[in-house]
Amino acid sequence: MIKVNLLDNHFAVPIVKETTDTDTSASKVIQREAKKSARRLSRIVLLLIGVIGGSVASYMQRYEIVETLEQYTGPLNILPPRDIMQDAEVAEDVRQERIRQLYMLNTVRVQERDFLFLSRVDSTKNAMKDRIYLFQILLDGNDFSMKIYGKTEKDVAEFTKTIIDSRQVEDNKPSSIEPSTALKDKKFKRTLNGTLKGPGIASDADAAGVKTNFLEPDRTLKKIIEMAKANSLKVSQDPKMTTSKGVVMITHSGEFALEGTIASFTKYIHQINQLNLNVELTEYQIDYTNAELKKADKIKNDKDVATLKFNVLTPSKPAETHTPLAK
Amino acid sequence: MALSAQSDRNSVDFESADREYAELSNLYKTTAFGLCFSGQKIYFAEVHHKDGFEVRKMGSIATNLKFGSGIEGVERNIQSLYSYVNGCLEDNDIKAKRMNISINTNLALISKVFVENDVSEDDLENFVKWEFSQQALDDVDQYVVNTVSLDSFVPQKNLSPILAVGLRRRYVESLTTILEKSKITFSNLDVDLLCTHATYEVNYDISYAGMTALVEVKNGSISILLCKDYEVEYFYQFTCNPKSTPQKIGELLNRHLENMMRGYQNEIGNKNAVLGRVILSNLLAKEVMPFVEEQFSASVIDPFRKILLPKDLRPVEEEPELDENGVPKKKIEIPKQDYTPYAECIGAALKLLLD
Repeated sequence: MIKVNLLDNHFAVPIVKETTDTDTSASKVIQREAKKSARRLSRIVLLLIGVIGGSVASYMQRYEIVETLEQYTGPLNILPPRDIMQDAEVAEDVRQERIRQLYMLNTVRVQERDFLFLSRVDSTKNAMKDRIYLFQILLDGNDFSMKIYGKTEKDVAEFTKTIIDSRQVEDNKPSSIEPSTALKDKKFKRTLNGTLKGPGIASDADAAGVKTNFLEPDRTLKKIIEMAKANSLKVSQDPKMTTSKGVVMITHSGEFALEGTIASFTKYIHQINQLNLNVELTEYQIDYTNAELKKADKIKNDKDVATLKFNVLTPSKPAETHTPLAK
Repeated sequence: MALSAQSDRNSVDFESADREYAELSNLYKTTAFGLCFSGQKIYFAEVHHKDGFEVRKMGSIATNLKFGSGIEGVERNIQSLYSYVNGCLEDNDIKAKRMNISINTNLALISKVFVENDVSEDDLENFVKWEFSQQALDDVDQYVVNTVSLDSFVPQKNLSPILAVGLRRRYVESLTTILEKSKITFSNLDVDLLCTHATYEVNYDISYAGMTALVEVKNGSISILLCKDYEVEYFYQFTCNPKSTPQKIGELLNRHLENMMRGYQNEIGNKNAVLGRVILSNLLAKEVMPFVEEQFSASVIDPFRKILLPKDLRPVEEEPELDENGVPKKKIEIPKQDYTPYAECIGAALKLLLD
């Protein structure tokens, strides 16, 4: 029989004990906890480095960030002028000019969208002339609303669908189609409210090739009135202008009504856009005339009328980029 | 006032105390408890020695531990072993006072070395340690090492064969720590294969056909102890894929048995040594046995060839029932219970009693 008892070691017991993976020894526990702490610490350090790095980067880019915000909010005036350039005033002028150009480019894009939308509504209305009567269109910023009369419920629904399917429409809330006695042959009506899609955000690259002509307010006003006349639109009265001053731009607000065909009116909007004038069209209200309603004295105008609210924008301080338009 | 003090000197029953001591002493000498781990089970046996050997209690405990995977070395993982052992002792009314635990052979390092006869103890230690370090991956000092002189054939007169058995110190220490508060004295720690050898020694007569190979068949490794009569001559071990089928293991074993014999013959310089029989033990013994070649006269170890089974498990000899013609009725033969997994724990207990 092989006598073995592994509880006794036949050889001398070494002084150094084996480092085992029995987890009860204090040294092992301490070592393990120390490793865990080191890992935690390294994570915290990495996080801190990330936070500090992010903060530094944000600080370095603070002017760019605020400028981007100012395109949508208007001047915030939360940062002191940049002092990286030798002439702080010039730097500020450049910055303000850049904001202005980007703002105007955005304005033109919005107006181009409005032109496309109004053109589509008007052309659809004309195509369904016998079946549809459009009482009024109101376009204020991104929100629009219109009142539709139709011969049948189907006509109203068809017209609504055509409008809703426009690429410019983002959201819509048509009311239910209700019977109406206002018009003899168009016995159903509905109100359509909705929102138009915002155009893409303009960047410096987009603004590079486009330059807005910042004319004097009087000259701009004169120009847009001339253009209206050239498009066979009758200006009901000279607009009364109010002025408010901002840090980057001075806003001269006005309103006038234009009589004529709506097709001419949309063409007129398109022309304003093409000229890159310092005009911001803020609200359009189109009232269509109707002989029957006119007779019943429910509307007063003989022709279609477009009421236009607009701003003429001028720089707070004339910049070098200001180019006068040839008379 | 007179003080009244009563001594209990006269009331102590010395005879009863002596008798009790004698009984305990006798129990200590004649009864031992063996324990072994296999798979997810703990096997135990209490062996009593009077005229012959008799197993008084035996059984197995299913656990959620996976023995043989090194779990024995991690104290936290086998904390529950203490409660298993204590529960086993109480539930089975174990009377033995000594316990021998047999540990998986795969966890031990077994090596046969030849050492010069006249070396000092220090030189012997250094030599064995060096030999050990050739096989162990870790520092030899991390092992508890036992050396046993073998009486086997010596190729040269000035050399002595020594069997060195080593087990990781942490296994030993964690087991000792866990079981030191147990109700039974943890007096010995052994290796499965060497415990099987004790079972073989008690149960089997010597073979006149040749040498005996004790083969421990486990998933992933096969260990062979080549014995001449009862003396260990050679130790051989080989590994196989843990997912190998019994047939594959059997085929491998056939080839390795031949290879082992060639190695042994070369070592002793005698080509006439032949293998007389093969005794298989452990988990896969029964499955592998049919695939071992006939020439090896293979059998599965039977720990109850000479040792008596516990009383409640012994087959009762009944008188045969006679039919109408007075001819004994044919009885349905119930297959004999397989006690192979108990070979190690019985061997462990035997080793304490044969001490």
